[in-house]
Amino acid sequence: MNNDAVFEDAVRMVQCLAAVAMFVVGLEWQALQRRGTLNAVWSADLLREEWGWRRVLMAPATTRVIPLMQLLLAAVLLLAAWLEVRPSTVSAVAAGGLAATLWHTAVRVRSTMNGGSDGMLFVVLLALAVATVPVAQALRHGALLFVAAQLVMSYLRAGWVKAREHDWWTGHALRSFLSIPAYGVPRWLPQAPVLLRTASFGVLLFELAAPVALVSPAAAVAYAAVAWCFHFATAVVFGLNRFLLAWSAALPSLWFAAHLLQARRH
Amino acid sequence: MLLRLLFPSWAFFDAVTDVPRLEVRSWPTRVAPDVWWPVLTAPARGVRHLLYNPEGTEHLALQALVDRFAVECETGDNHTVTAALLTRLAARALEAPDHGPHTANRVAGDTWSWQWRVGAASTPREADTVGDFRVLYESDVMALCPGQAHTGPR
Repeated sequence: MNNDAVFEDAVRMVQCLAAVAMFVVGLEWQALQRRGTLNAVWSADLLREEWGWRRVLMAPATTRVIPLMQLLLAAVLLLAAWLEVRPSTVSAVAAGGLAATLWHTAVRVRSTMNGGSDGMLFVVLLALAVATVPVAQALRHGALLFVAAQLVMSYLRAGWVKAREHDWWTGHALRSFLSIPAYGVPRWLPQAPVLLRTASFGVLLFELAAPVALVSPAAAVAYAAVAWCFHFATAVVFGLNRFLLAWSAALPSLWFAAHLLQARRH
Repeated sequence: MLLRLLFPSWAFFDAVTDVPRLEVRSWPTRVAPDVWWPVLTAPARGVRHLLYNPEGTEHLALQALVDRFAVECETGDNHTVTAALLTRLAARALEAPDHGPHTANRVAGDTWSWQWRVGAASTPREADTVGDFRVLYESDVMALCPGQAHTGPR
């Protein structure tokens, strides 16, 4: 396969998975608005001053529309991927609009709603907006490479900061994280010291090995498969469902990056 | 905010640190203050929550707010706005039907007081041990009026 064909396939995969992720984000935001806690706590009357010029965008009426916009734009993004329209201004506008809704939510709650998963989805959507628009091919490729770079960085940096902590090599750190009540870790999870040490070592190895994914397209696919299992496990253990969705959407970029690097070498 | 979204830190689950916890207590003003109880408890999860988990997302967002307040307290940053948001959160928790041990024992005509605090709970290194709790901030005592708890400090 040539680079352009691989690029188009990778973009299509990223687009489909990002659309699914944003569909879930929209549904969750809708449910949260019905529950009322977030709007009651992050009350507009307390935050209006802090919003400054953005207060027009943060009006309750706008906030109510955000989940509907997310559902609509996610459907457009999915449909555009399905119809394989390339390059597509419609896809670019939908992806850009979805990224803007994530920014809106982050300003609304003064931080990310779901930690790094919002960041990764934002990166993916912004890159999609560039990768699907009819501009120079190099720029479109660059956008997807940016996702791959952020993806590798997300594992490498997470692995590096863990590797510097002695407690991660002994299994104590993992045991402590599993005991944090905020994560509601299932009681059935076995936590024998030898298991925790092995799992800790596995996490460190997996995260620090991220650059290996760029060695070849086969290595990228193998690493992506392990990564997906890793995120599935964190969703089961820590309840981080949005991390599974966001990283799933970003993973196909690894395949394109590995393919491009291999083509450059030959 | 744009830069934070575009370039996240990616330093997930690095060092084991104390975990901030929001607690609240309410009591009839004529008696001694009641025990503190945690406002945020992780929601139960099932298979569907692997994909769709609004309760979990809300819980993490609220816990992030408590975390932010703890950081602001420890670094000496201005925490006025965050404290006001936490007052809303604690007051809302008091409105829940099962909010505390005294709820069921309300006597007509009693005036009630309430208070919230944020502390840092150390994560135990060994199984079946309990970590310490270090208080970072304790709010003023506020009067609790039925249906008006959410109006915050007076």
